[in-house]
Amino acid sequence: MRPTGASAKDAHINKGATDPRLRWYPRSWRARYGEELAVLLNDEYDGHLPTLVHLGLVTGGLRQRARQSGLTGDSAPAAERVRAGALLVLAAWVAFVIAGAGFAKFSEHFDEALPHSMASHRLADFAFTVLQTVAGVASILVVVGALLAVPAFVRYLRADGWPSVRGHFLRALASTGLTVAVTVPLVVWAHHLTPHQRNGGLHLYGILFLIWAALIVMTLTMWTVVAIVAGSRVVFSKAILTAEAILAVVIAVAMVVMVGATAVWWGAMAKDAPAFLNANPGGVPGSPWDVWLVATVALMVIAMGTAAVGVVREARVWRRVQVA
Amino acid sequence: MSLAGGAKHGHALLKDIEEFARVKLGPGALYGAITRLEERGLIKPLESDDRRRPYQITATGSEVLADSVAQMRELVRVGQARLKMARTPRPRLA
Repeated sequence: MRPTGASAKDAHINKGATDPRLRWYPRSWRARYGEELAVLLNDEYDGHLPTLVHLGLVTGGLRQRARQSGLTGDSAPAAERVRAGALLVLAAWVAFVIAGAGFAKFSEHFDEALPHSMASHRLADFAFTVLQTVAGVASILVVVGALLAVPAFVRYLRADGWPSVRGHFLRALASTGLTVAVTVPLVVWAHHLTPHQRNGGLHLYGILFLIWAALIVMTLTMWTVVAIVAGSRVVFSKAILTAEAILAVVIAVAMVVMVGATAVWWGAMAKDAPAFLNANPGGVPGSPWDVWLVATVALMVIAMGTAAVGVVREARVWRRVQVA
Repeated sequence: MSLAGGAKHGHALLKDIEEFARVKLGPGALYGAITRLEERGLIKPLESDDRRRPYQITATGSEVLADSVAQMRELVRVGQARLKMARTPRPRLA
C-alpha cells in the first residue's frame, strides 16, 4: 500500500458520489469519501441498513454540510465562517418573521380590549409600537443586505452558477405560484364573510386559512433556501462581507429588542386585559398562557437564539477576516 | 489509536475499535472522524487496488497520539492514587 496522491483521489470521484444512501452529505465530500463509505456499508450491512445506521448517515451528512459551510468546526476559512454566521442570522430572521406574523394575527385589535384609562394603554401600546418600529427597521436592513449581495450574485450567475440554484429557484417559484393561486380566491371569499365567520365562525374558511398560512411559510422557506444556497456560493468582496456581517449583528440585536417588547406587551395585557389572551377557543379563563401565543413567542425565542449563535460564530473569527 | 497498530480500511477499523475500545461505531461516525483526522493531517489515505481505501497514521498523528496517551496515563496514575487514598481508613475528625 502506498500513500495516495491527487490523481488517485481524483480517480475516486465516481460511484459513491451518486449513492442515494449518502445524499445527505455534500457533493464534494461524496466525491472524496463516497465510494469507500458505500463499500463499507455494503460490507457491514449487505444492502439492508438498520434504522440507527441510516440515522447516523443523515446526522453525519448534515454535520459535514455544517462544517463545510463554516457553520461548525474550525476547518473552514475565517471568511466562510463569517458568511455562515450571517446566513444563519438570515435563516433565523425568516423564522422570526413567521413567528411575527402569528403574533400580528393574535394581537389584532388588542387596544380595544384594554380598559379606557390612559395608564392601562400606555405600556402595551408603547411595547407594541417598539415592536413594530424595530421590525420595520430590521426588515429594511434585510432588504439592504440582499441588495448589497445582488452584484456578486449576478457575477455568480454569469459564471455558470445558475445550475446550482436552478432547482431551488424553480421550486420556490412554483410554490409562489401556488400560494398566489390560493391567495386570490381566499381574499375574494373573505370579503364576502363577516368578521365572526373569518375569526373561527366558519370552519371551512379556518381550514383554508391554515392551508394558506402553511403555503406562505413553505414559500418563504424555499426562497430562504435559494438565498442561502446562493449566498454560500457567491464570492463577496471583503467590504461587502463586512457590511453583511454588521447587518447580521444589528438584525440579531433587533430580534432581542423585539422579544423583549413582546414580553412587555404580554405582561401588560395579562395585567390589564387578561380576557384578551384567552379569546381563542379552548383557552383557560384567567390564564395568560394562550397556546398560540406561547408557540409564537417560543419560535421567536428560538429564532433569536439561532441568530445569537450566528453572531457568536462571526465574532470568533472577525479579527482574522479584518487582518486578512 | 487503531491506526497506530497498522494501516486499516473502514471495515477493519470498525472491528478493531469494537475489540479494543468496546465501542461499536457507526459508519457515519467513523467517516466523520476520518474526515476530521485527515483534514488535520493526523492520518493519510493509502492507494489500494480495490475500493476499500486504507488509512495510515502520519508522523504528526503519532506525536499527537503519544501526547494523548501520556495525558491519559497521568490521569490513570492520579485516579489510582486517589482511589488508594479513599480505601485507606482515615481517623475521624473530632
